[in-house]
This record gives sequence, C-alpha cells and structure tokens, in this order.
Amino acid sequence: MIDNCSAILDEFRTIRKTPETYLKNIDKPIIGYFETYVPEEIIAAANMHPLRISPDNAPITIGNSKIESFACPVSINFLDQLLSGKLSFLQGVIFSRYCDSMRGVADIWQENRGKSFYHFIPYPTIATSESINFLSDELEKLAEHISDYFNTKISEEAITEAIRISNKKRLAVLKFYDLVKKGELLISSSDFFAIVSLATIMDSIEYTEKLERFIDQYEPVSNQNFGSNIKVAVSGIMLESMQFFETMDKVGLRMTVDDLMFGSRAFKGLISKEKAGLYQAIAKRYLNKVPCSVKGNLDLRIDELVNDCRESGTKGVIFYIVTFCDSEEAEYPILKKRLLEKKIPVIAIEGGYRISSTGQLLTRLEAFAEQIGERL
Amino acid sequence: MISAGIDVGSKNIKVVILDGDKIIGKAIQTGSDDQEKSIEETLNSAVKDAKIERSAIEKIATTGIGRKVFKEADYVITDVTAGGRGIFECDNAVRTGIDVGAEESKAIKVNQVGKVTDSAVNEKCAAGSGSFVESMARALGIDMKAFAELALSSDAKIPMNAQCAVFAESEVVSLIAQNTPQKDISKAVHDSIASRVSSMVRRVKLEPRIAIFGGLAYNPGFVSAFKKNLEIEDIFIPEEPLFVSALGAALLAQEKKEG
Repeated sequence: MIDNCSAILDEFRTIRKTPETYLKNIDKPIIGYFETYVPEEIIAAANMHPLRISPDNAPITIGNSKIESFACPVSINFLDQLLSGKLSFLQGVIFSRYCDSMRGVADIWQENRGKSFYHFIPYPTIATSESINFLSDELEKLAEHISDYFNTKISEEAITEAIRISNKKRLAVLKFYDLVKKGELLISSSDFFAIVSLATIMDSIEYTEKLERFIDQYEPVSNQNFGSNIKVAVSGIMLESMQFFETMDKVGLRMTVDDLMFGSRAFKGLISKEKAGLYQAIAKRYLNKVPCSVKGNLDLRIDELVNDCRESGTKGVIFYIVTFCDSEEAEYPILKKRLLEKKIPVIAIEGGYRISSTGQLLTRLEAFAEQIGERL
Repeated sequence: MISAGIDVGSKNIKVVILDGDKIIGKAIQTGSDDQEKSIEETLNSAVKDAKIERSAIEKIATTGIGRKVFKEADYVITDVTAGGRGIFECDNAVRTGIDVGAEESKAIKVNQVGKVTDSAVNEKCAAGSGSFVESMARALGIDMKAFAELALSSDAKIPMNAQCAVFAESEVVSLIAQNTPQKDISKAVHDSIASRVSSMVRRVKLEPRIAIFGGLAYNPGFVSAFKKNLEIEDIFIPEEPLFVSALGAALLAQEKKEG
C-alpha cells in the first residue's frame, strides 16, 4: 500500500475505534436508527446526519430493568444506550418494524423518550406492488413528521440529491467488496469490517470520497502477512464486535465475503428512478433488497451468499447467531443444509453483542480453520 | 516416532505417549492454578509410566482449553480436531463423537479418514456439561459415583425446565423440599443434561456410529438417559474416555507434515 492509502486506512481504523470523537465534528443534527430498513436518504434530505447505532461494548446497566435478560442481547443493549442517556446527543431516533425484540425496544422508548423525536415505520415483510405502495405512503409520512417536528422542508430536489449520494456510496462499497472478493484488494478481517461498518456511521460524501481514494491508490504489498490466510464468509444479522474480527485475524481466517445486515446486504441494490415518484423508488429498493432472516426470502439470501463464496473462492462460512435470536436459530439449519449441498462448510457461533467467552471463540474459530484449512 | 499428546482440560490434564500407534504411557492429574507446573508433572508421570527418557519424545502436541500454556509444544491443536482424531482411532467406524467434559460438551463429526467435517459446542450454559452434574450431586450431598448410579434405579419422569445450571440447582432444591426421592432427582438431573447434549448433537445431524468420550462417559446415569433421548442403543464408549483427545493430539503430532 502506498502512504496515502495507509493514511486513509489508519483514519478509518481510528474513527471505528472512537466514533464518538468523529461524530462530535458533525455539524448537523443527528438522527439515529438501528436497522437497515430505515432509509437514510430521507434523513439526509432533511439536512440531518443519519447515524446507524451500533451495539457498544459496555455492560448493560438499566436495560434489563425493562426487558428480561433472556431476550436478544443486542436489543437490550440498544435500549440500555437509549435509557442511560448515552444517545442523548441524537435529535431523535427512527425505528422500523424489524423483529419482536426491537418492536419492544421501540415501544419502551416511545414511553420513556420525553420530547425527543421518535418515529416508527410499520415496515411490510414482503415485496408486492401493494406493500411497495404502502411503504411509499409510510415514507412520505416519515418525511412529513421530520418536516413538522424540526420545522424544516424536505424538497424533491433534496431527496433526489440524497439518493444520488447514497447510491454513489453503495457503488463505492460494492466496488470495494468486489475487489476483496476477486483477491485484488488484500485486507484483514478487522480492517474489512472497520471500513464497511463506517459507511453507515460517517458522513456519506466524506466516506465515499475516502473509500474511492483508498481503492484508487491501493497497491498490494507482496509481503503482506495474513497468517494461514483461509478465505471465509461471515453471515448473520448483527455482528459488530471488533474483537471477533481480530480473533479471525489471529487465527488466519480472512473474511472475503460478508452477509451481514450492515455488511453487503446494506449496499446491494441501488435506488432507480421511478415514474411513480421518489418515495416509490425508495420503497422499492428497500423492500427488494437481500433480506434479513426476520424478513423471509431466504432463497435470495442463500443464492447471493453461495454466488459470493464461489466468486471469491471462499472455503467456509461462519454463521454468527445472536443469542436468543429465534429467527437466526430457525434459519441456521436451512442455511447449513443448503450450503453443505453446495459443498461449503459452515460453522455456527453463538454470542451476544460483545464477546464474553474469548477462549471458546478462539477454540471454535481455530477448530474451523483446522477443519477447512490445510493446517493439519 | 515417540510423540506425546497433552490435553489440558478445564479440570484435568491428561497425557498420552505413543510409540508409533501404540500407547506406551499415560497419566492424568487435576490441574492447578499453576498450569505449566501441572502439565510438567503430568508429562513426567506419563514418561515414567512409559519407562522412557523425556528426551526420547520427538514431538509434543497440546490440546484442550489450556493448550497454549505449555511452551515446549511443537503443535497446538484444538480439542475438536484432536478429539475427532482420537475417537476415530479408537473405532474407525465412528462418525459422530460426543465429548462431554467438565465445562463444555461438543459434538464432532468425522469422515472416513478421521478428519473433522462439522462440530457444535454447547454455548448458552454449563447445564450441558460435567460440572453441572457435579454441582447437582453436591446439592444432594451425595458423591458423584453414587449419584450417577442412583438415576438407573428410577423410572420417574420429572422435567427440569431450567436453561441454566444455576436455575437448575434451584429446581433441585425445590424437589428436595417436596421430599422427592433422591433417585428421582438424580434421574431428572441426568435426563436434563442428556436432553441438552442431545439438542446440541442434533445440530450436526447424527451419523452412526456414535461415540461418547470425556468425563461424563463414565457416568452410567448420563449414558442411559442419553441413549433413551436419542433412541439409539449402539453407542460406543472407548476403554479410557478421558484420554481420547490426548491420544488424538499424540497421533496428530506424528502425522503433521513438517514445514
């Protein structure tokens, strides 16, 4: 890598490590969201910064007072961040109908939020012309709610521009994925995760410009050491623990493909112009994108994953299940069966929003490396 | 070639010394807070048992939770790979090995050459491991051997719904308060752990022949409940279930290609 490229990568690493420092310099009101089904374009069109909230690495303080501890730990963490005031720098939050746990978090926050902005999108599960119409109307209501609450105006021009910016970002991220997949860009699992995860944290224009420069200036270094360098894919809904990816690096498992909610699934599919209008166009893109396990259409997701694995020469898939996530628990046997039919080994690793059992994680990843690699 | 396999488990350290494929020495010792010292002592005991000089050992492989502690190891191998190789050596018809240790239980699938093809580990709680049974025996004030055998004399079906070892202990306390016979409590505990291990094993899709190894393989209450739960009578238990992973490590140390 040439110096400039290294500098950009260092900057990405620093922001990923301390996003709060970066966010302090955002000179726009910040609106938070939790799931990939909240269109960032509408928030951006109101001249606000859309921020995807990640689970933090802190222990739960008051979150368990509102939700039982055997519920989804990611949901409990989100609620904890909201109730404890850690997210008080936000001007408001937007939820969508994602899973039952997050529905509970949305309801509890609605009762406890005081006067801060809150909006819930009753997101349909399937993509039909009726559901696209329905979501389109709901997105228009979201725009009206933001406009009324913040006394601003969301013009068609602003939405068009926000769509252009988000599409450009998606294209840059997809190009990055493509290069990693083809082996033209060699990067560790932790750096891969850091770069992709920042796409929904940083300012879109700044992020895209930095990522495009990083890609343009990238030159592989022949002596770059990735240990045993076994190519794997990581699948699941929410995996935000840097420790997980650093353990992958340590074991010599190199992520070349991901199938995570805020990984490739957040970027595949652009918003195209629609005669029926901008909201229709946004609704269509979000309803037709590769879905999470809570939204069904597993066939599309598995097909995408298998294709990505084949194109990249991936030797196995790590499926991360968030403890107590019924959807993922139910999905895993199907996904495993389908991947094994394609001769792609898969391992399920279960855990919370942070890694508590580091020894077990290391053993499981090493065992998988021994299984699919040439180490033994 | 003489090789040693050291399985540094969460409770015991097991060492197997092989000369080719023949076991010439073995030793077991409960671990301490000074793991390196305990490993050293156990290895020396096995060397004594093998009637060889320590310097005769050409390769050492470690496995188990404390596999990275011993600095002299030539190879460090996970207990999944070592267990799979070890149980395949005990009976090469085995395709699913179930290792139920003190703190962890795991299902290991191996192919026709003994290579691991799939694995699963209990992840939510210790309620699927040997220490769970030990703590339940303690709650009843019975030694482990008697507690395990008691289960065989009961036909009672008392469901224990606890998802966690701590809550399960509360259930046992409730059963004691209700004057439930000890044999029925023992049966309930063993049914519960068998059910949890079976659920975990089913995640790798059972393929016969099935084998159990690790400390709980010595527990007749568990083995009986496990067979009933899986509705499988033919379950292979090696002669020395505690040494399977150490054996696998010793074999892999010989089979590992240089470079």
